[in-house]
Order: sequence, then C-alpha cells, then structure tokens
Amino acid sequence: MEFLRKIKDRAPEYDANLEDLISRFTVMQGGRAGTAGEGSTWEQGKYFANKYEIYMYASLLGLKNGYKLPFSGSSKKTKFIEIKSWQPQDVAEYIIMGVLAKSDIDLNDIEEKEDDEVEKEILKLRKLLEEYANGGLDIIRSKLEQDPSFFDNNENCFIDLLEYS
Amino acid sequence: MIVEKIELENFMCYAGKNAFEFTEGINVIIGDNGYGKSQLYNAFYWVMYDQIFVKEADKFLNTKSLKSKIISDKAKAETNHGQLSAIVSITFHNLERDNVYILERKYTVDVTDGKIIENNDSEFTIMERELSYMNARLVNDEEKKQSIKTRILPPNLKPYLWFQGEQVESIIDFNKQDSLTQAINVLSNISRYDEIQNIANLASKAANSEYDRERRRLSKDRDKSLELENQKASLLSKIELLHKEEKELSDNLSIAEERCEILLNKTGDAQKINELKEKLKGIKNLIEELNNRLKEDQISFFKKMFRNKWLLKGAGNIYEEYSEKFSNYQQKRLLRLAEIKAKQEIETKAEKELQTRLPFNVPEPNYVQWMLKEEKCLVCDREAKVGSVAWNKIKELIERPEKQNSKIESTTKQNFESDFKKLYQNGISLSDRIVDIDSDISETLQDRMALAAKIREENYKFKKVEDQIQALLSDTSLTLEGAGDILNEYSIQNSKAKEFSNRLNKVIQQIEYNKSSLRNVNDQLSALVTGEIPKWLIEKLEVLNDFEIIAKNTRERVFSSLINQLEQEANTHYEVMTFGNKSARGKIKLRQLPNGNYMPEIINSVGEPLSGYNTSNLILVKLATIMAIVSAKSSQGVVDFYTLITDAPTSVFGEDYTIGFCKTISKVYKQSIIMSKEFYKNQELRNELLTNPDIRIGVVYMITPSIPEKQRDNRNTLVTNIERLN
Amino acid sequence: MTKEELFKSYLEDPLLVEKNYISTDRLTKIKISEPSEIKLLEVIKLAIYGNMDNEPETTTARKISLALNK
Repeated sequence: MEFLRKIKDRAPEYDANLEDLISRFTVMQGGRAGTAGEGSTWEQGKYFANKYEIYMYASLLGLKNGYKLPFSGSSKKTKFIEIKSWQPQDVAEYIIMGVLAKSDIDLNDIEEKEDDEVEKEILKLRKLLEEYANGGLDIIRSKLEQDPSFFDNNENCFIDLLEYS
Repeated sequence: MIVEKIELENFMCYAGKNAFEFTEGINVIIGDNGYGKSQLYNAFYWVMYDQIFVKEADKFLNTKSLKSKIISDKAKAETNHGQLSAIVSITFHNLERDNVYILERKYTVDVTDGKIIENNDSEFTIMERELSYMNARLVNDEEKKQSIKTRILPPNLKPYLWFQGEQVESIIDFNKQDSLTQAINVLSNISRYDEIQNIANLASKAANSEYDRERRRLSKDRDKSLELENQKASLLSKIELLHKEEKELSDNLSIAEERCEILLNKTGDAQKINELKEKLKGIKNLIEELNNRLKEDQISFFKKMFRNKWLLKGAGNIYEEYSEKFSNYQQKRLLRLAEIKAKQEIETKAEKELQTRLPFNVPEPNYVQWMLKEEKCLVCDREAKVGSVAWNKIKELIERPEKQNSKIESTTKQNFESDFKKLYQNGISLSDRIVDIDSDISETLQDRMALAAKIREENYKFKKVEDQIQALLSDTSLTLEGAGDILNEYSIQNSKAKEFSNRLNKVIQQIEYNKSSLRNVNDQLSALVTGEIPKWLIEKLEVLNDFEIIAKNTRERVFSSLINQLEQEANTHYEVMTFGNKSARGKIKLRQLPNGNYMPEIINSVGEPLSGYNTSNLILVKLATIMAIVSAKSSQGVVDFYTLITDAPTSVFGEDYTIGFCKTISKVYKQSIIMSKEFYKNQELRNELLTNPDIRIGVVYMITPSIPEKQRDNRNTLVTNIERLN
Repeated sequence: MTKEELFKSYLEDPLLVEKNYISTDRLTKIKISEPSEIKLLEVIKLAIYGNMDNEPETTTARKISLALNK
C-alpha cells in the first residue's frame, strides 16, 4: 500500500484568505488545527466539527462539479492535518480516488517510474486536490456572497448545497 | 434591660407632662387611629436615634429637619415669651446588675413675642445610677454613651426588636441576599466565612497567575503565549461581567415570580388556580425536554453528514470516472502480463525443445566445462567450435537451471495494484450507498419536523392554560375589590418574568460559550509548553483551587444550616401564634431558590405548599421569623435582655390572630411594649387580654385625645389622656 | 465561635475525602493545634488564623502562597 500511504502522509493547504470562511462554519478547536473530539460543544451556526470536515465537503463539491480553482500565486497558504487523520477514512479514500481519476496520471506509466518521480506525481496529486477543494470553497464563498440568508436562516444549508451543480 | 418608664413633656400630641410605666411581660397601649400610639413609638425612636417617622412624608426625619414641629401645639400656643422644650426620657433598668440608665433627649427653643427662634439641634444626655438607690450621675464620655446605647439595643438586632407594623413585610426580605445575610449574621457570624472565601479567591487567583507566568516562560512561542494570555484575561473579565448580569437577572426573575405567586394567591379560587399552575409546570417541563431532544437531534443531524456519508450525495460520477480509468489500467496491465507470459512461454518452449532429455546435472558441470574448453563433444567425439550450434547446445546444459527457476514476474519498478484496487473497491461500496442517501436525509428531516411540530403544539397548549389563568383572575375582578389591579399587576409581572427568563438563558449560554473558549485557550497555552512545569507549582495550583471550592461550599453549607435553624425556631413561634385557629395553618418552610435566596412558604403535613394562604398568614410567617432571629440566639429561645417595641403589628393580620400573637410575644420576650388598636373597639378581646392565663400581661394603658381626629383644625388645646387599665 | 469550631466546619466538606486528601478515620481525629502534613489543611488553618486575628486579607493570601512554595 505504498502509494496510498504516501498520499495520506500529505497535509493539504488552503488559501489563508479563506480562513474566515472556514472558521465561520467550523467549531474551532484548540491544539493542533483541525483536530476534534466527541466532547466538543456545538454552537449556533456551526456545521463542521473541524477543518478537515469542511475541506472534505469542499473537495467533493469541487470534484462533483468538475470545478478546480488554482491558487493565486501570491496568496499565503495554511496547512492543516494530514489526510491519514481524516475521518471517516473511506470518504477520504473516495476523495483520493476522485482526484486520481481527474488527474492526468497514467496508472500504468506511474508503475514504471522511479521513487523520486513517483514522489513528484504524488505532489501533483496533492496540488490537484487543493485545487478542487479551493473550487468547492469558492462555490461556498460565492453562495454566501450572493445570498447570505441561505446560511443564516437555514439549518439545512449544507445539506441543500449538496445539490449544487 | 427593662424599660421602666418613659416620660414625655410637650412632645408632639403629648402636651404637658406625661408618663408611662412598664413592667415585665407584655405592655399594651390601646388607642384608635390617630390617638397618639405612633407618636409614643416615635418618642422611643427619637430619644435613641433622633428620628421621627412622619406619615405624610412616609419617612424618618431628624430634629434638624423638624425643629419646633416636635413641640406640642398647645405648649407653643400658650407660650408667648420664654423658653420652650420638648423632652422625652426613658428609664432603663438592668435587673441583674441593678443599674439604671436614664436616656433623655431635649429640644429647646426661645420664644419672643409669640415668635419662635429655632435651635440648631437637640441635646442628648445619659444619666447613670450604678445601683438603683444611688444618685444619678451624668455620663460625659462620648464613647461610654455610645457603648451604653449599644448595650441597650445592639444595632444588628435593632431592626428585629423595634419596628412598626407596616415595616414587617420589609424587615426581612428572603429574596434579597443582603437582607437574608444580615438576618443570618445575627444568629451566627457568617461574615467570617465570607471573608475566608475572599482569602481563598485571592490566593487562588495569585496562584493561577503564577502558573500562567511559568507556562509563558516555558513557552516555545512567547509572542503567541502573550497573545493567548491576553485573550484569556479578556475572556475572564467577560465571564465575570456575565456572572454579575446572571445574578442580577436571576434575582429579578425571582422577585417577579414571587410577586406573581403572591398575586395569584390573592384571588378567591385558589384551588383551581393551583391545578392550572401544576398543569402549566408540567407542560413547561415537557417543552424543555423536547427542546433538549431537538438540540441533540440537531447535533446528530450534522454528524450524519459524515457518519452516514451524506456529503457523497451526487458524487457518483467521480466513481465512474475512476472506474473507467481503473479498468483501463487493469486491461493494460493484464495485456502486458499476458505479453510477458507469452514471451516467457515461448522461451520456455524453445528451452524445452533445446533441452536434451537428460536429467538435471547430467553430465556434471565440470565435464560440461571441459567439453566447452576442448571445443569437442565427449560423447560423439565430434567438433564443437565456440559459437557453433553444437557448442551452444553443450553450453545450455549449464545454463538450464537458471531459466527453469525463473517465474513470470512483473517487470515494472513499482507495484501499486493493491492501492488502486483498494480505491476501486472502496469506491464501489461507497457509491452503492449513494443511492440511499436521499431517502436517508428525507427520513431524518421528517423526524425533525415532527419533533418541531410537537414543540409548537405544546407551546400552544401552554399559552392556552395561561389564558385560562388570566380568565380566572379577571373573573375574580368582578367579585373581589381591588382585584382589577391584581389582574393588571399580574400581567405585568408575568411578562417581566418571561423577559428575565429569556435574557437569563441567553446570558447562561454566553457564559458557556465563553467558558469553552477559555478552555480552548488554556489548551493552546498548555500545548505551547516545552519542558516541565515544576511539580510543586502544579500541586500549589490544585490545592488552592480546591481551597476555593471548599471555602465556597462550606459557606453555603453553614448558611443553609443556619436557615434551617431559623426555620425551626420560627415554626415554634408560628405554632403558638396560629394555635386554635380554624383555618388551616400549616408549617413554615424556607424554600431555597435557584439564585441562592429563599422564599417563605406555608406547607402542609406532606410538604406541599398550602394553596390559598392569604397575606395575613404570610405576615405571621415573617413575624415568626423576625422573632426567631433574636430568640434563636439564646438557648431557651427567650429574649431576656432586649425589649420588643412595636407599633400596630396586629393591624396587619387582624383580630383572629391577635390573642395568639400576644401569647407568643409574652412567651418569647421578657418584656414587650405593643401599641395596638385592635383592643380599642373590641371589649371582648380586651378582657381576654387582661385575663388570659397564657398571657403574661404587664401594664395596659388606654390613650384618648382631647380633640377627636376629625375636629382637629385647631390643635392648640390638644392633650392626650392616659388611663391605666390594670 | 472558636478557631477550632471554625476549622471543624471546613473539615466537613466532602471534597477532602473525595479527592483523597485525608481518610474519614483520620478526619475525626484532626485538631487545629496539631500540625499535619496535608497542605490543604494547613492552608485552611492559615486562613482561619489570619481572619480571626484581624489580619488584612491580602496578607493572609500572601502567607498562604508562600507556604505552598517549595
């Protein structure tokens, strides 16, 4: 399981400008950014227990809609927890699967590559994941901008947003 | 100390020289309204505290404000020229030591041609007789004067020993923390516990700062630590403010609820109201429970996004894309493998053909090597030059083993098949579930909606019961006088209570939120620490935090046990006061409220609050408690050393309880002086007072004014007639 | 109320036994005059002495803090 293990050791980054958006919907925890315990108290207007949850949501949103958004060159990026710590792991793997599918990596060719080249490909994958997540976050941001009441008055907002296309 | 007598000269309606003598037991001054009872009470008060209660102003005023108003009108009218004084003196007798104190206050003015020249202030003197037969001496030392006054009536006991009937309600307000604490402090010094609590808070606070400083010192990011500590400080002060607000709202809520309770009890149909109240309570509890369920539901709803994989909704296409990619990969891979396999098979086949029918290692390798060297076959002795077909055949005998053991291996550098396969299989199982997501979501939503509907329904029921209560109150407004006001006030208090309750909930939530942020910040601070915080410091922090808790709990424990003591003592008085009364009397219970204060109630034998008890019972409860405060201090429950002086307490609860009250008073206090009007009109009651063996009667006076109240336009001839009845 | 009585009223708090500061047996035998090695009890004593001797609260708090230093 070399390949998966290497991917899961990665910790993706997000655009620091999106920090406010993320923390608006996420119950902020102390300690390592993005870790959550069952005991965390739920507060009004928060839908995600920690950052990787909203990141997973955003990645899927981007992947479903085929919307990837590269980072603007100058923006600062914030790193958070490695993929191997995401819960649930099967959804994390589903996301990896999706990114792998969308990438231009040829599955057969990559088997012919040396270790350092494989590392390069994995880095490309991570970057692609970040772009899809960035896209998903952009969808959320634009929805918020266009229609703030969608999130304010609606407890099911993120459920409804699943239907976005 | 006993009050032996009080002498009044030209004081208010007491023109000329007047005197009242008292003994042990209950001394009663009987007179109708406006006959001078209150002025007698004022006389006592004026001597000790230079204060007179003025009914028109509804407050106490001192000599400086009243000036010559204190002097009898008759005296003023009769004096054209000379000096004029209002004088009151009280003689106190300490029976054990046999010493006597005469406290006197005097206000003197000069009159010239009928015009009064006011003085600045009154004079206060104390004469002392060390033994009753000796001569009286003036006490000149100011400090000694103060100490005599304090001994006669200690300031902390005064509110409970000298009071007017109308004040009974407010002397002790159970719903005010300071009023309660003041009363409890008389019983036993609770203030020490408060002070020790302060010490604990100070020490704990200092230790916490010390710990924080150490954490900062060991922090791997000082700046971040400092920032976090600033956050912590601001959170702490926010929490403190919120707690203050919480307390205020909680107190206000208690007061509003108490008022509602009292107002409800004033109505006639108490039984029905009680039932409705119970129903209301039941519905309220149900609503609370349902709201909690809704909240829990909410949380699990959000968690389902991940637990039930809702976030995969609509993401089936992702799997399909990968599936295609993966099968292409598999195909190519298989093809490649097949190629390799085919190649190898050919090789093997060629090998097989090439190979002799000889078994392995036959002939032995060294012979084969020899043949190769000689370039000749040893079997048939024919030439086998290097590179020729024959020579190669011989060579193959040696190389055979390697090829036979070679397997069909993958020729790729990496083997990721298991990873890709895992992703594929994971994808299948998840995408299978995607179809069910929609129905799962809608089912959950439906459950939620049903719960919300139930809550709405219960809220509606709640409102209806409230309306029923309102209706009952408005019905009574037709039959009970002043009940229209009751209805109004009830509505006001009720909506106030609701508002306070809402605001209180909000504040409590805010406190929780801030406290959780505080925990968060503390965790972050601790996470920054490298190395170890010294053990003794950790221990110090723990010990002092525990000390803080213990100090608080002990104070509360001691306080409630004193409340219990007070309650028990009050009940002994209450029993005597209500004995023989036809209407249900019950027992006093001091019920603790959530804000730490208490609500006096009357309960029946099973511990349930008696419904429909009226105001007079509540006054009795308060009176019983006021008596208990002082009587509980002595072991026999009798107030030996201090005299109860009270003006018109019986008017507050009417004739029914008057005799019971007098019995209790005469039991509890060695001496008491009561001004009352109940005995004036009611001859029977008066007789009973004088003859009842359970009442330790003192001296009974009847006072009558020379001019009836209605004809007092001209007060210049007003004197007060004092008649001793026994 | 004597110092001993005040001390005893604090000893009644359940936290002492719950958090294993002292056993229930030993609790009954404790006297304010006997020194104990239990820091929490010594702190309570300092507070009581300070309060009953009319020491300013800040002084008592400081004494307590020093006593717990190592």
